[in-house]
Amino acid sequence: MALDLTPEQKATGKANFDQAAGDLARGGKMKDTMAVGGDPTRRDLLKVGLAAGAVVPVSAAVYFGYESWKGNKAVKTAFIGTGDEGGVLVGEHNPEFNEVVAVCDIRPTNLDRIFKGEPNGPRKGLDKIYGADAEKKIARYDSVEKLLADKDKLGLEAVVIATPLNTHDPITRLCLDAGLHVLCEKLMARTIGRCKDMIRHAQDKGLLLSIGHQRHYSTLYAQAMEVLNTGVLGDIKHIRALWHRNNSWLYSASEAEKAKYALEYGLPYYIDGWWKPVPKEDAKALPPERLKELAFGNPAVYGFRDVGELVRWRISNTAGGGLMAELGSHQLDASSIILGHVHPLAVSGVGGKFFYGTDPDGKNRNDRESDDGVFVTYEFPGPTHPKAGKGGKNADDVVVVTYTSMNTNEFESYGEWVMGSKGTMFLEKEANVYLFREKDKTKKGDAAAGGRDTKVTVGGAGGGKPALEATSTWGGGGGAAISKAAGSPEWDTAVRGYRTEMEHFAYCVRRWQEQGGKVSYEKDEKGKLKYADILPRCHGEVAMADAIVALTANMAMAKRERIVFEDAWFDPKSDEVPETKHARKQA
Amino acid sequence: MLDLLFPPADAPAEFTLVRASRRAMATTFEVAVPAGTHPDPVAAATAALDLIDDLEDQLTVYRDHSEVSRLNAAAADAPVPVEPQLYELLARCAGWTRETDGAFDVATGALIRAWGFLRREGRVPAAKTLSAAMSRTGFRHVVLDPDGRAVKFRVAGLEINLGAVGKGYALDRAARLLRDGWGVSSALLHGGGSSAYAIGRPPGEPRGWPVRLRHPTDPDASLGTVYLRDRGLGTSAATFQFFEYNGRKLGHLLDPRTGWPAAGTASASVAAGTAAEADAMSTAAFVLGPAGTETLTRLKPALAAVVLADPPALTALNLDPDSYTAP
Ligand SMILES: NC(=O)c1ccc[n+]([C@@H]2O[C@H](COP(=O)([O-])OP(=O)(O)OC[C@H]3O[C@@H](n4cnc5c(N)ncnc54)[C@H](O)[C@@H]3O)[C@@H](O)[C@H]2O)c1
Repeated sequence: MALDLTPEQKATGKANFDQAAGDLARGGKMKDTMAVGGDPTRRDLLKVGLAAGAVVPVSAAVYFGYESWKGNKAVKTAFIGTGDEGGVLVGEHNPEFNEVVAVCDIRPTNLDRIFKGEPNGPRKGLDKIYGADAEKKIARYDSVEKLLADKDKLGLEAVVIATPLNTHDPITRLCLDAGLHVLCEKLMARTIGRCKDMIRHAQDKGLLLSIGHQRHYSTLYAQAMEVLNTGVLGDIKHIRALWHRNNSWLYSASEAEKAKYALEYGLPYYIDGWWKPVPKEDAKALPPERLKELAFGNPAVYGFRDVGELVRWRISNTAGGGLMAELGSHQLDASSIILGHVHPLAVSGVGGKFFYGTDPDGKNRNDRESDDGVFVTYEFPGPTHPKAGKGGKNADDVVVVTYTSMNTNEFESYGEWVMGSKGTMFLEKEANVYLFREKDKTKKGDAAAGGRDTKVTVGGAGGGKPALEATSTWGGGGGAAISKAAGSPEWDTAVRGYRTEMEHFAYCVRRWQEQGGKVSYEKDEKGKLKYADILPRCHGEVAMADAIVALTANMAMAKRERIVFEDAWFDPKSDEVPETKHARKQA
Repeated sequence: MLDLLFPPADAPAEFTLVRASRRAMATTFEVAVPAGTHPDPVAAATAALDLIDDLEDQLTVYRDHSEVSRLNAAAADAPVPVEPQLYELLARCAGWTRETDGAFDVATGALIRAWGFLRREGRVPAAKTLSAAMSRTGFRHVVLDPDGRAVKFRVAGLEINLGAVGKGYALDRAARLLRDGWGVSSALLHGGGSSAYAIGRPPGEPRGWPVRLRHPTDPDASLGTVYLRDRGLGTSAATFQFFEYNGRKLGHLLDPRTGWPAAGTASASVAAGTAAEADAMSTAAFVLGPAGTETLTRLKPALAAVVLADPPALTALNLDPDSYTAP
């Protein structure tokens, strides 16, 4: 089955999903994510004045329970790490919830960029959001220590951290020690032991720790989950998650670029966001001695060999976690949500540096330490499996989740395919959901080849408007396929979780202040968080599970082994971590 | 645009249309039923679309197991009995070929193949290939046996290709099912916009279902609006595919009489009692051009046509003001 869809198939799949969600909502079966006009139980909707029977998604604020925000003061926040993702988060943040009072980065070019922004896309920049005098109002720091020294002067309450993976835990620790609530980007930390330290430290200090797996705050995923939970797909036995990119096109630098970049760190051979050129300005500000000073007292673990490793941290084995950490973690996070927040049973896979490398003559073709292709298979417990925690005893009930990521073909792009006995759901690029039903072999003709999917729409007509436009089609079919202009980014703030994730974080900060005392992660006798609605959706324990899933796959691939997940790894109180048994000895 | 924004006071009523669509025959088929005119429009439309799928499976030359593919493979050796309604369709095609002096012909599979149009990659065939294909082209080489409802080809290599009538025929059958099997009294059915059939009329519009004729090259322009009531409409145009050869633009619609792509017509729409006939006649009208189409409509007064010549000149034939408004 080719997993790319024609425009008609997409239209059909989208209409099917909307129809299913709408039908369920009208039947009172989707109380949480969708609102129905004329339903008196939906107070929030009466305000909207929706016609009876009409269905709309509820707002993120309503769904995540913070619609009462009005009247609260924005939380004074500093953004640490103002690179690509910091730029997205700044662009997406809502100043009514988080007021940016300071930014901090060790690369001068990124400190400039966070103010100026980018002309297109989500990285709007602070100047655009706070006005031209943003540069005067918002303080800039070139180290975390200097920022934290000024925390009282700034009135700082919280930080958002978007720095390379190996710096997440030391920066989080310093901020917690300074009494600040922390929202730190994913992956949580470079090793599971370091994740456990972060969780325990936040608990000790009684502060919020939220990790940026934004799918936990996507209303689209929430809606998809509600539809899935009705069992429309039947028996789900397979999820196919993938994130394929093509970074194999040759890079060529203009004279102006050559003048801008520090050539001693090499120029990319291929156009590749993970192998960027190093700006001269950053190279000058960050010689190896300076990077050593900035390494939180442990350069081997928290530092960067040189500015090249800092800029290309994702392909470094100590600074990043490769494709599994950067891309796979999101989609496996989604897969475990889809399967009912279960942990996987086992993982095996093949990964390697199959494409990039250094030629015998010394030519560096975007060489790297991390794998450039990963092909991983997870076994997850199905609903009747003993490990699903629903009292089942069927050890054969296993759902196979495959994850693939590579750098040399992007025909299929990225998304998650959930394959059930009655239908398929495709979650595409965090932006669209499609639903397709399986052909029903008990119905005459339904099993025949060819697109059986009927799309139904209802719309206005008459009033003198033509009901149809007659045109010609080619030799009994075909016609011109009209597709969207290439390269138009699919960016919808409402369905991306970033904004909501930060708004909810700010809401939690204020609610704990109201309540007084330390943030509590206490659990009830059933193991549920007592204060779940005022704790981040992706708190440390949830995020650590994502890190375990991603990083254990790396270990399985490195040793070409099937690794069985152990319950103790997922328990923050236990010192057991997968690395003890499964990590390859560092050379 | 303006007249749509500000409809005149006596404008026809607005109503709600339930549309069901599905891919078939390499295009999108759609059945539209006004809400309130039938208790279960989606079920009715689904049944109609199911029937169209079944007919595709019977008529297509793109699947080896289809009845038409099997007929093409065997009819040169011995008479092949065919399903009664397919036989009837072939008999009607024979009549249309006579009426149009060969401008419409379904026994042109060999020719279509020689030009590469079967795989949608047009190329000018070598003279030898073309004359070989021409010797295997034309319904005059097809013998129909009404008693045994059997078909025999007089030459080997002849191929029936129902591309020019298949969509219309499928719509006629679907319309009959909707009317007789489901009691649908008002609906518009079409396949990719190029073939359409109207059952009854929409609410508040006595003239019938309004169908705008799209200009073949200018997306903002129109060739007028026709109103259909219990009639079919077919449109043939060289809109989407053509290729250049010695400075000539060649379209994909072949003139079975010469073996070359037809020239001189930009678009031809024909309304007729059935969608199959409308399809066949629009193909003929495209091949014949405005003058030939005028002769055809004089011979067959039940046909109505709108033909745009190339270079442009618009001719409307047999259309009264109640069934056509000019652009
Ligand atoms: N949630 C998502 O969808 C998503 C997407 C992309 C990246 N991310 C995460 O965001 C984080 C940053 O990724 P990125 O793409 O922005 O990388 P980047 O390299 O573009 O930016 C990282 C920035 O952190 C700065 N930095 C490094 N050490 C620092 C220190 N000690 N103090 C202050 N600043 C420091 C760097 O100078 C750089 O400007 C990573 O953890 C990544 O996994 C998340």
